[in-house]
Amino acid sequence: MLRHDLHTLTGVYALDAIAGSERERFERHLQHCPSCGNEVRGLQETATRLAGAVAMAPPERMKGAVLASVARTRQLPPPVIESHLRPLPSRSITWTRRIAIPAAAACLAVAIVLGVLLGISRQQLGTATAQQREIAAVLAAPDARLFREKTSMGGVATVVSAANLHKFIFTSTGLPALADAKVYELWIMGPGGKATRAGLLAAIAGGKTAPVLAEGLAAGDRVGVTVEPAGGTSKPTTTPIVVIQPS
Amino acid sequence: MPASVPFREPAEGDSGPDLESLLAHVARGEQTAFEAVYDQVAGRVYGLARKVVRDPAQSEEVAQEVLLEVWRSACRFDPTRGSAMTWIMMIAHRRAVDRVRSATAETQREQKSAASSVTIEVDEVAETVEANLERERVRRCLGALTDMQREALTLAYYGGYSYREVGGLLNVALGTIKTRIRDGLIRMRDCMGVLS
Repeated sequence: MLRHDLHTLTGVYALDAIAGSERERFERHLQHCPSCGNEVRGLQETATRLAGAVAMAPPERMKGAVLASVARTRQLPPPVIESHLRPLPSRSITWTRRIAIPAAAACLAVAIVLGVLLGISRQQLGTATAQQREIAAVLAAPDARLFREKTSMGGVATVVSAANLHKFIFTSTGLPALADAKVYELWIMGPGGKATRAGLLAAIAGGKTAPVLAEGLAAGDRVGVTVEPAGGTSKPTTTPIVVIQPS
Repeated sequence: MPASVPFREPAEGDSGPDLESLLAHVARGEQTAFEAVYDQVAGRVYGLARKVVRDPAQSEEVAQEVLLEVWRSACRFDPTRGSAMTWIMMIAHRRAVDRVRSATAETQREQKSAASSVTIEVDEVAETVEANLERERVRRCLGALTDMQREALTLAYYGGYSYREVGGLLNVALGTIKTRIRDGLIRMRDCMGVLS
């Protein structure tokens, strides 16, 4: 009787017409009832058609507003840890192992960068400095791409490049602190071996360096970091600890 | 696929493989991929919000929240649990329902008669092209339900009412409402050729 009762909830569950503890109870039941799960899926797909039937062009302004929010919103990391906490149907476990791990790397990489950058833009929302606006513009660029590389000194360097703007943002996590007389210097390294100064990394705070915005990035250029005397130099004097090809 | 099934089309415009792979790119933080997702789903998200919430300004807010949620949680989309369009529309419906249930529901929504209306009104706002096809099909399949099934189903989905509220509105026992909604939805599924 009880089981039958629960099974008839597939319809109201698919339509979000069930709430609170009743909903939770049904969700627990779903984990042990593959036939209910299949039925719910089919009914949810059906509800999607009901939604499609009332589609309506949104106001023009909505797209710009949404894309602007997206540019300043950090994404969630994928739920890889949950799979260790509670048993899942075998199909989910397979999926988690196959897909979620590379997805995790990708999502986290973006989250780290956006998190660092968001820390700035949220704090001073409305009074953003010119540099913060430029950083936001790189992140919002349609061709913005993210690259990560481990450095030879440990830690990870991240570059977000916007090729059409010829700009990039550099951040790092886990780089070791340097002696007072030393500094990390950023370079744009041209195909011919010519290196152009692209800025100094700020002191490490909380395991990270603040984002550096640099311009003058051309097709085929690489981004490198070297350890230099305090104040920086006009050309690299040591072997780069990391080189990233942002293309 | 039997040729005699008239409504079962090989490719559904709303759930092609495209959206799934776009979401995988969105999960990696690619904003161009997100823009493509926006173009595919914004009309549906906004339309559903309008249907449930009704107030244009609030519907727009809900739609924006939904689309931002798609960006934020793209990593959480699990293709083994259903299509990308369904994942997005589930977020949309839930947000819309949250909005009307948390607000002072009585004053913000029209009364039972309007919500239960089976006719899908043609709004003054332009409709999207694919909506016309979908609309026809849904209308046809809704027409194949019993009046009682149709009423319960549209109140729950388009009206955003819980099944307990639907039971109260229609003065019908809860067990009956559950069954009515499930039976109606199963008939819709079969009529529209949804593969489960």
